[in-house]
Amino acid sequence: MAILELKNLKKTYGKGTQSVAVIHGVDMRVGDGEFVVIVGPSGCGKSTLLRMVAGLEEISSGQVLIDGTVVNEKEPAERDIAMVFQNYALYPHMKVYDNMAYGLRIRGMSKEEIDKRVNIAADILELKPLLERKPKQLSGGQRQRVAMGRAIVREPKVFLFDEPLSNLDAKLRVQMRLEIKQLHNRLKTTSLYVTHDQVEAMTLAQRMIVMNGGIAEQIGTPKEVYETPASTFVASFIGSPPMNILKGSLTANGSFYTLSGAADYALAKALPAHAGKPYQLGIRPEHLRPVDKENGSGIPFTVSLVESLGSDYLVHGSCPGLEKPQEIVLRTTKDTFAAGQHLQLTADPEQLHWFEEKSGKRVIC
Amino acid sequence: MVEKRPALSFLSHLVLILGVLIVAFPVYVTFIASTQTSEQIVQNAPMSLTPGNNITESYKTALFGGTTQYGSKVSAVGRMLWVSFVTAMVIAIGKIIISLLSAFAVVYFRFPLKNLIFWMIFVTLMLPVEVRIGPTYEVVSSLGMLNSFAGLSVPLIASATATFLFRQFFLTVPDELVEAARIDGAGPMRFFKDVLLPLSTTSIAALFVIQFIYGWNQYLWPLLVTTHENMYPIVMGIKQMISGGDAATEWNVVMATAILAMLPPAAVVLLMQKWFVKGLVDTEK
Repeated sequence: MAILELKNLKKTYGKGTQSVAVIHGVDMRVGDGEFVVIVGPSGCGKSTLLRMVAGLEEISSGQVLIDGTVVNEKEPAERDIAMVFQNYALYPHMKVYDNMAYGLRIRGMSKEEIDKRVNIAADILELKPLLERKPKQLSGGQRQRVAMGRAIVREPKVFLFDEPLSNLDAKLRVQMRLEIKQLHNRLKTTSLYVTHDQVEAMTLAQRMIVMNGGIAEQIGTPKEVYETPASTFVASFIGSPPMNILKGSLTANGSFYTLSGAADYALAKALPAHAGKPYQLGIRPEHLRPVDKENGSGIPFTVSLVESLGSDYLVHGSCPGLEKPQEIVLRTTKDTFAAGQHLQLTADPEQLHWFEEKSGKRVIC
Repeated sequence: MVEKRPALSFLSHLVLILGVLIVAFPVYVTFIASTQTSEQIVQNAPMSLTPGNNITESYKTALFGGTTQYGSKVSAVGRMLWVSFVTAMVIAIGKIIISLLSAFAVVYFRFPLKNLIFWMIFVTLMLPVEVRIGPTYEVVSSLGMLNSFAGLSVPLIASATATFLFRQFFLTVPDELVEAARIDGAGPMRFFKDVLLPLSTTSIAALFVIQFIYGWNQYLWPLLVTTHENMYPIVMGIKQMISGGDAATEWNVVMATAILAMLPPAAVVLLMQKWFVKGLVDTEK
């Protein structure tokens, strides 16, 4: 049980003019027993951030604090953390039992205590029948469980997960995701979890950090991140299919949104305070719905393709008459769309997201 | 090539059998010669290819030394076998220990001039013992190591080949394993002992076989650094028995010695065959 704090954490590789900054200062506080997920595309620095917390990567500047103590200069083993690796990193020549017991033996723990802890962990993870096997004789999911067992037996202050599920197949991933969640509910250990999979992030996280290019774009609960994305990056990264982002500007009186060069979209709630601003408009696919033609002007939309997901349909299409073609996706439960169909789309005013044209930052309207 | 054609399988077997015969025939001749008396070998030309009845006599003379029926003195091979065995063992084990440690240093530690040092080790691959034999002899004799086990083995222990092989192997060990060990609290030597060594066992076994045979077969170096008969390794001993000039060569004893000289390396290969092949082929990590 511990509080993990990151203070203006930075990472640069190389020295002087040749240096490359990978993490540009991340501030974060993971509360006691909280499960925080770091999510972002590959190369955004999320794994580096985790490895800095683990002590496997040097910290260029800033501080990592565990329970109020700065651990920058401490060896990984002294930080009282445990880490689960993407490729499990089990010792191939040791039995499952020894893999789990190894760290405890190094710490000089008594045989009985080791035995007790390994057995408890094996019970939790249902590894009892596998204790005498070698990692080679285990399936991917079982190996993953052993890797978690190795972390659990140490009873650390903080759990670190580095994309632990990305080597598993889709079905197993969903199952292990649930197991990790249940495990956390049971152990209540402070956890930091890195993934590139936004579904994993949404389902596991109590709070999440969306990273992009070494910057924490947004920190918040999955609900916050989904409903009020801080930037167009977050908006298009979280959610599948991603949010539709339209380019255009508000008209002079703020009651219409002009899509660049084409139709005007009548806003149900005028925004006079932002009149004439060149904002980007974001709408989630599931919030779009067709309007009756007589009822006013919506976003013109021509259907090009309909995909069936079983329960839902994804309607792909574009906005006709624009200088640049604008792809739009609509998610609906109605099976009334066909390719070539022309429609007008709209969404409730509270479902519209406004972003600055250049920076892509969210505008509160 | 999984084809079932009688002609092809006949041909392939023929080639294989011929190969075996070519390799095995000299060994067979050696063995047969060691079972005959030296007159039988010399008088019947070509010598008969059926076993004679002098086998116990030949091997007794070879192993324990003594005087033959011609009065020539033969020194005991037993001592030579011991010298060869100790030398080969020290060379093989020494090479493995030193190479493991230097490869460990080169792969897992950051220190100044690391690359230069690795390349220096690597460059010595190009220099066989024969090239540096003069200066090495000078050093060994100045240190008073002539006619000693140390003189026979120490100069041959350093091995760029083995260092290189272990380096390549260590590079294939995933980084996460090192990191997992660090998080578990294992220091560098602990990691070496608990993780790297057990993973390297098959490579170690393969290298041991190769290096044992390398040490056993040394001829030129022992020729230089030994002058006392009781420090002769067996490979040299065989040469010493073949007297030139007028003296008669006791071929049966020479051949018995040759057979005795072949046995230990053959035993090492047979005993470690499973590991040896695994070490060369296996990529299990």
